[in-house]
Amino acid sequence: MTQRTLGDFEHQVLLAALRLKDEAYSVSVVLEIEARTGREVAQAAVFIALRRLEAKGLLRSRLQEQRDDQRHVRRYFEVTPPGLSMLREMRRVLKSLWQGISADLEGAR
Amino acid sequence: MNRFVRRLLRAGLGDVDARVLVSEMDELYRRKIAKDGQAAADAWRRRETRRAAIHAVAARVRGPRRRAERSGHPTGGWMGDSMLQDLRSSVRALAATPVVTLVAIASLALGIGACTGLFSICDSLLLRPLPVREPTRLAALHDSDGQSYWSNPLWEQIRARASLFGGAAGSAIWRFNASTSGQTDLVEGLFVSGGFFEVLGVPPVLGRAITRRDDVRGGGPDGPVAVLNYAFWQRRYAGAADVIGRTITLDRVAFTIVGVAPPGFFGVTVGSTFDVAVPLGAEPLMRGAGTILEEYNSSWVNVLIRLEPGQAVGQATSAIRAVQGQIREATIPASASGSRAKRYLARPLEFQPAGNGLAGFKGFRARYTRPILLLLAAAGLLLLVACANIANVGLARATARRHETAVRAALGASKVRLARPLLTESLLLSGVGALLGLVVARVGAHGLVSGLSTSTNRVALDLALDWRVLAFTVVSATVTMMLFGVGPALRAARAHPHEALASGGRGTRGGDRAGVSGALVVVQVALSLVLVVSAGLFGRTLGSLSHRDAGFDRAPVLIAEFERQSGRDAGLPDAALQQVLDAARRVPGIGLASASFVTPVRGQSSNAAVEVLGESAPQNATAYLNVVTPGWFATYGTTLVAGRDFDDRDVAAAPGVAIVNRAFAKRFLQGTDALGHVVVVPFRDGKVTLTIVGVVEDAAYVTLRERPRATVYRAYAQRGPIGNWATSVSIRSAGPPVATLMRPLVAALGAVQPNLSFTLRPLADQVDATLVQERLLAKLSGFFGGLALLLAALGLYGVTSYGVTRRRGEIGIRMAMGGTPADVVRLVLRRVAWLVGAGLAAGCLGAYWAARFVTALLYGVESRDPVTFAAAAGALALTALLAGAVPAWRASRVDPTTALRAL
Repeated sequence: MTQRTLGDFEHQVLLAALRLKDEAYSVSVVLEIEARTGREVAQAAVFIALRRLEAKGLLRSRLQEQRDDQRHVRRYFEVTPPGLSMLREMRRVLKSLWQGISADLEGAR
Repeated sequence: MNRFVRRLLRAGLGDVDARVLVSEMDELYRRKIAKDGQAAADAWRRRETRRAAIHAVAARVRGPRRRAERSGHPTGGWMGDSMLQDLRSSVRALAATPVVTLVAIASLALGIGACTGLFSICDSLLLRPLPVREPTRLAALHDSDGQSYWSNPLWEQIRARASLFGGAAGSAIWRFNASTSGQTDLVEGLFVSGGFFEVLGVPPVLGRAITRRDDVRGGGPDGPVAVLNYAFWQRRYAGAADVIGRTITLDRVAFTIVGVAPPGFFGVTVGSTFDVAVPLGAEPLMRGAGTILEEYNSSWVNVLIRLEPGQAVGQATSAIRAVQGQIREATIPASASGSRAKRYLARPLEFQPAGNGLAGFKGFRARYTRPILLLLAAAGLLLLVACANIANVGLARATARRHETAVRAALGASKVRLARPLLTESLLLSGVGALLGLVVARVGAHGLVSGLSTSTNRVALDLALDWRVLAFTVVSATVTMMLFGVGPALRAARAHPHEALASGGRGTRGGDRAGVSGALVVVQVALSLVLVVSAGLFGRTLGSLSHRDAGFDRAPVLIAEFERQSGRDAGLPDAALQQVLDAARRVPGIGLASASFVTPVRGQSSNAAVEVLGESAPQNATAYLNVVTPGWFATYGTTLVAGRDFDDRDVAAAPGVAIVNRAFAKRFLQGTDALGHVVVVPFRDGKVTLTIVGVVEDAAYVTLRERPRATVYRAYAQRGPIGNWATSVSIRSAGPPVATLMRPLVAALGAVQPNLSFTLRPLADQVDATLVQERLLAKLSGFFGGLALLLAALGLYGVTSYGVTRRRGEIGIRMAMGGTPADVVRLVLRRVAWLVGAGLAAGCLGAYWAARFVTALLYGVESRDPVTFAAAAGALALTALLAGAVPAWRASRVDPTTALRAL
C-alpha cells in the first residue's frame, strides 16, 4: 500500500537514498543527512525509516555480507519507480506551495 | 551493546534486521572514531544505543502486524514463540517461589486425588460393567418389590425354562470354612449353577469350569468340584499350575479343584468377591440335613439370564410372565396360606438389566452410593477451595508481573500471547496436580475400600483405572485449571502498554485485584464452613453411635463363633457346648461365659410373628428372637428388670419359658407386668408356647441405629432345632483387657474339641464393624474439613499480607500521624473480619441448604444442629483470626520512615 504523503524525516531519508544511488545503507544515509542538515540523526531511526519506506513500496533492499573478518552485513536500499514518482509529486507540491513567498520570507528575516 | 538492548532490537526488528543494524552501527562507530576521536565516538555510541532501543520498541508498537504479514511470519517475538519455551519459563517462574508452588500442587493433588478416588469407587459401584462377555445382555430376576433373592426350587424352575432366553445362571454368596480344626479359616464362597461360567462367558484360565454334570445333588461324576478365584489361586497356591486335581476342604467336605477363573472376575455382585466357587448341588453335602436346597422358604439364590441377541429386557419379562403361574405354583412355601399365598402367587416376576452387576445383599450398592456421592461432593468443594487459593496466587503473580506484561504489550504481543505464560503455568500446575492426584486416588481408594471391610464382611471393589476414571481426572484437572487459571490470564491479557512506561510499575491497579481476591476468600470461607459443618455432623453421629448405651457392655466381651454343625440343628450339641463353656471359664481372667445363637449387632437377625395369649395382637406383631443360655444377660451386662434369668430348671423337659425385653412388654402388653403371660412363637419345631419368666433391659440387636424392638429370648436347653443358626459363645473378662485374653482362649477352646472350628473376636470389633459407614464419613469429611480450613487460612493469610504490603504507605502515614500499632492491627483485622463474616454468612446459608442431603445419614444430631453450626463457624473464625493476625502484627511493626520513603 502506498501512502500519499511522507513525513519530514522519511522525506529526507528517501532523498538521501536517491542521492546515494546504489550505495545507500544506514551508515551512508546517516552521514549524508548529517552532512547536509548539520544535525545528528539516530542511526536506528534511519534504519527503521528505510525499512518502513520499503514496506510502503518506495524502496527495495538487498542484504550483502561483507567479506571481512568481522563478518559484517549491510542492507542496501534502492529507490523504486513508485519512490521516484512520490518524490516528484512531493517536489511539485512543495514547489507550488513555495511559489511567490520567498520575498516575504526574506523580508521577515 | 548489552544483551537487553540486543533482545529489544531482535524483538522490534526481527533477527536479521537486528543483526544488520548492530553491524552497521559498529561500522559507523568506527568511522566516528576516525573522524571525531575515541571519546566523542564512545559518547555517540552510548546515545545511539539508548535511542536504538527506544526506536525498536516504538517500531514494534507501531506496526508489528503489518511487518509480520509482509514477512509471512506469525506475530511472535518475545523470546521466541514455541510452547516449549513458554513451558520452560513457566517452570522457572514456578520454581522461583517453591513454597507457594508446592502448596498449590499439594492442594491440587489432594483435591483432584480425593475426587478421582471417590469417583473410581462410584465407577466401580455404579457404572462399571461386569467383566464378562457382553454384559449388556445380562438381566437379573426381580419381583415387583425389588427383591432379587430366590429359593433354590424357584431357580430350578427358571433353569428348566432357560431356553426362553440365551441361558440362565444361578449363584449365591456364602462363607465357607476351609479349616478342619481350631480357628476357622473363612473363605468367600460362591455357589454357582452348572454352566454359570459358560452363561456369563467367563472361560477359566486353567482347567475347566463347573458344568451341568457337576451341579447335581451330592456331586457329579468327578465328585464335589471347585473353581478357584484367580487372586485366591495366586495368594494361596502361589499360582501353582498343578493346583488342578488337588483338594480343598470346605465346611468339612473335600472338593476337587478343577479350574481357575480368569483374573478380575469377582462374581456378579458389586462389592463382594469369591475365593472358591462350588456347584449349588454340593450344598447338601456341606450342610447335611440342614440343607436349604429344597426349602421353598429360604431366598438366597440370585438368578441371572443372558438375553438372546436382539431380545429386549421387556421381552424376557413378558416371556417369564407367561409362565409365572406355573413357576409360582410349583414353588409356593408350605407355610404360606391364605392371603400370603395369594400374594406370593400374584407377585409379578420381572427382569432388570444387570450389566453393571447386582446390588448385593442388604443393598451394599444402595448403602454406599449416597455416602460416596456425598463425599465426592465434599471433595469437589475442597477442590474449589484449593482453586480459589491458587487463583489468588495467580492473581498475585499476574500483578507482580504487570510491568513485564506491559512491556510485552508495548512490544506488540497479542492478548493471547500475553495470557499464555500464565495459562501455561496453570496448565503445568493442574497437570502435575492431576498426575499426583491419580497416585493419591489409587492409594486412597484402595485404603478406603479396605477400610470398609470388617472382620465380618469383606468388601471387594474393582478399582482398576478405566477410561471413565481417566476421563474424570482429565476433566476435573481441566475445569480446575479454568477456574484458577483464567482469571489471572485475563488480567494479564488486559495489560496496557502505558503501564510499561509508568516508572517501576507501582500501584496503579492493585485495587480491583484486591477486590477479586477478597471475593475469593469469601467463597473459600463459605465452602470451608460447609465442609467443616458436615465434618462436625458426621463426627457427632459417629460419636453418639459409638458412645450410645446399646444395652450391653462392649469392652469386656469376646465372642467365639462356632461353625455350623451338619444336621437338623446347626448349633453345638449340649455336651460339646458345656465343655466349651467350662474350658472358657477355666481360663485365668475370664469372668463369665454363656452361649446364644444371635450375638448383638452381628448383622444377623431372626424374627417372627408372635402373639401373647389373651392379648389383642398389635399391628404387624413381629419380634426378634434369640436363644440364650443362663448367664447370657450377665455376660453382656444387660440388666434384668423383673423376674429371673434362665437357670438349671429350664431343661428340655420342663415347661417352656421365655424372657422378653422392655420394648416387648411395652408393645405387646402396653407396659404392664409381663411376668406370667404366655407368648406363642413359631420356631422350627412348630408354634411353641412359652411362659414369660423375666424382663430385661432393651439392647441393640441388628444395628446400633435402630430403636429398641420387641425381643423374645428362649432358653438354649429348650431350643429345639434352630436350622441354620450356629452357636456363639460369649465370654466376659473379669478385668484384664480382652486383647490379652485372645491367645489363651484360642488355645483353651481349641483343646476341648480339636475338630470344632471357631472364630474368636472382641465384641468391640463387631460393634465397630457396624459403624464402618459412619466412620468412613466422619474420617473423610473430617479430613476434607480440616484441609479446607487450612487452605482457607492460607488464602486469607496471603490476601491479608498482600493488602498490608499494598497499604504500607498508608500505614506509614497513619503511624507518622500518631496512630498506634493497635490502631494498625485493628485496621487490618477489620478487613479480615469483613471477609470472614461475609464468608461465614454465605457458608451458613449453604450448609443450611445442603443439610437436607445428610439427614438420613445422621444419628443423634439434627442436620441443622445449631451447636455444630456455631462450633464450625467458631473454629473457622478462630483460624481466620490466626491467619490474619500474623500480617496484622507485621503491619503494626512497619517503620513509618521506611514506609514513607518507599512511597
